[in-house]
Amino acid sequence: MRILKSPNDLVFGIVLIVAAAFFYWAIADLRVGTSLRMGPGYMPLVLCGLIGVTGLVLFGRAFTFPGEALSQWPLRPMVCVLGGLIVFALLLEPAGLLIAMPLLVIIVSFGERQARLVEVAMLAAALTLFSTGVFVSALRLPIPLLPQG
Amino acid sequence: MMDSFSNLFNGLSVALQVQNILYCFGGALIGTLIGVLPGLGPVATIAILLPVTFYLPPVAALVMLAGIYYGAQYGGSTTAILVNLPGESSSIVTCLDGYQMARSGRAGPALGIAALSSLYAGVITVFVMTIFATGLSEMAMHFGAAEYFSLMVLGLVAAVIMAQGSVISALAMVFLGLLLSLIGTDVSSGVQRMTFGMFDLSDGIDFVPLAMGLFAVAEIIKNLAEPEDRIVLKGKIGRLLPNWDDVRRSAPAATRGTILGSFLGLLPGGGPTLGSFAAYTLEKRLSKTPEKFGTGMVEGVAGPEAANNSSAQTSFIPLLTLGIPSNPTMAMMAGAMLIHGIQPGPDVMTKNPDIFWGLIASMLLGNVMLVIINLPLIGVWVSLLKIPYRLFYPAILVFCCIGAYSVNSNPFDIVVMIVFGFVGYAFMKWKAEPAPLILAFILGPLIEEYFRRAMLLSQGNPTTFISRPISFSLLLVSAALIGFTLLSFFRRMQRKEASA
Repeated sequence: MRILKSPNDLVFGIVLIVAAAFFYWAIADLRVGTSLRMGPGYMPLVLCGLIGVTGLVLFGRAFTFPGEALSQWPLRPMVCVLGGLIVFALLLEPAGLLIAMPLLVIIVSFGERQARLVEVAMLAAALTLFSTGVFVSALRLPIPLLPQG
Repeated sequence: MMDSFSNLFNGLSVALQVQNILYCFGGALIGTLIGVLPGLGPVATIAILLPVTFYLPPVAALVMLAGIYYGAQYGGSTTAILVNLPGESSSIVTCLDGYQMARSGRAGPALGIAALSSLYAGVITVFVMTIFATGLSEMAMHFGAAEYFSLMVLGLVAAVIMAQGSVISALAMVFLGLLLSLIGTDVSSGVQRMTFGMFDLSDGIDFVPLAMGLFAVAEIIKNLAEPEDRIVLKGKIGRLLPNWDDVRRSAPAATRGTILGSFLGLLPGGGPTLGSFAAYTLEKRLSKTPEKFGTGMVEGVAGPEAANNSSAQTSFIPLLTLGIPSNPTMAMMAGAMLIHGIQPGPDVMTKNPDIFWGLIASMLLGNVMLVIINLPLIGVWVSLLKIPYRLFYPAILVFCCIGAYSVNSNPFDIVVMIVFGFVGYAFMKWKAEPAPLILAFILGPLIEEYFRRAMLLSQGNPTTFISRPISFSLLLVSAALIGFTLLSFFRRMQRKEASA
């Protein structure tokens, strides 16, 4: 009989406890006040406590009830999707949509194993053209197209 | 009562303005599209379109967004029947008998019954809404701070119980959502809370990038990690019209589904998914041949399809009359209303009757349009299902980026979306559903505000929440729900131990 019955609950529980501690550190300076005159720190303090408690319960449950095992993190989709989005967020204002968007489409497309270069390039061109036409020209959303200089 | 119907009639004249007809059609079309496509739901879609609706008149914007929501209920069943994959979570049960009907060569009638039951439910529900709306908004006039606080607690408790996975993780999601909603400048003291000295956080986290991250980005990572086989049913769909026997069996099922669905849509935490599950269970219970369910029973399509459409519509009522969003999609609708300067709540009906009744009346129109969009044009949707996911998800991400950036013209919102995309995927891995989080995030500032007000009014006496009858009964229901859930949890544990 293994002692740890649900590694998944253990990890989630620890994350919640750490999150509660982290937010508690962030709000420790705020005035808590009383129930009658609640200070800005009142609600956050209560919530940090409650998050900590749920974390502890999950932590305890990991040793009592059998649950899920841990599964692998999917490296390729995570890196490509999140990486593409980060590149877009960093480049949009300095370099403009016409540069940032093709890069976004190309990078995120490689999160899928079957991505082919020609197909991806065509998709990038089509989506950039569509976004420029619909969102910038027609709907006039204030999005920079070209590098700001 | 007669007043309500003359109001509905006035609403119809608003809904029938050319511009509103066009946006209603647009919403119904987009709704069907995202309903058909698995992996993109109404929450993410409404989040993407919110910045665009800013440039529309409020009625047109809300009519369109509502069309997306109930339109998705129509589209979802198409995928369920033809591919055996739910296009939306509310069409999970339609897979059971709908797909079996399709396999035995009756795909056409299955699609026909699904669409016609939805239409039937949609039309009847408009009248149900008309009656309930007036009553509820009159009741809301008697609500004070304590009642609102207790009602929101009930909404969150219901969200916790409805969530898949364990109650304790759902609770954690609620608390996290509430805490995240407090980031930014405190309204009553002007103090910065949890902003870590970042200027971009002083207005708090915007719910649009939050929802996109949790519901779109995280979902895409999950779909890429666990690709699903999409085998579109080959062969002809055949004639769509059901035969007389189908109609005879479906009509009572659709009626029961409508009644059950419209009631479950009104509850906090309720909505189409709950409605469709409950309707399926009901049909199976009432049937003389329950063992045949899962082999292509037409009642198993008609009941749930009627129920999901009617509960999608009635879930607007708590939002429009009490100002309480009962599910994540309604939370997005609340955001849409706030963008246009309309505070959801009992005032909508008196101050903006055009919006209120126009929106409800537009559902009559939208449902008729949806049957036309879904039945004769079924071939278009089937061919859409054949587009591979690898061409489809980069487009979703592009729209998310544009939408997130356009909220404040600030790339920081894209960063927020990325962070919650990562966090949302982690939650999925840990078997915690994001729906309670987003609901709590929307309700958070209101809960704090009403709690504060109730405490001030009662001079710091916490018994105010139980000495006022309406507030007390709302809290009592919440407590009963929690007790009931805990009880069934322990029962299950005992049974497990007994069998082990």
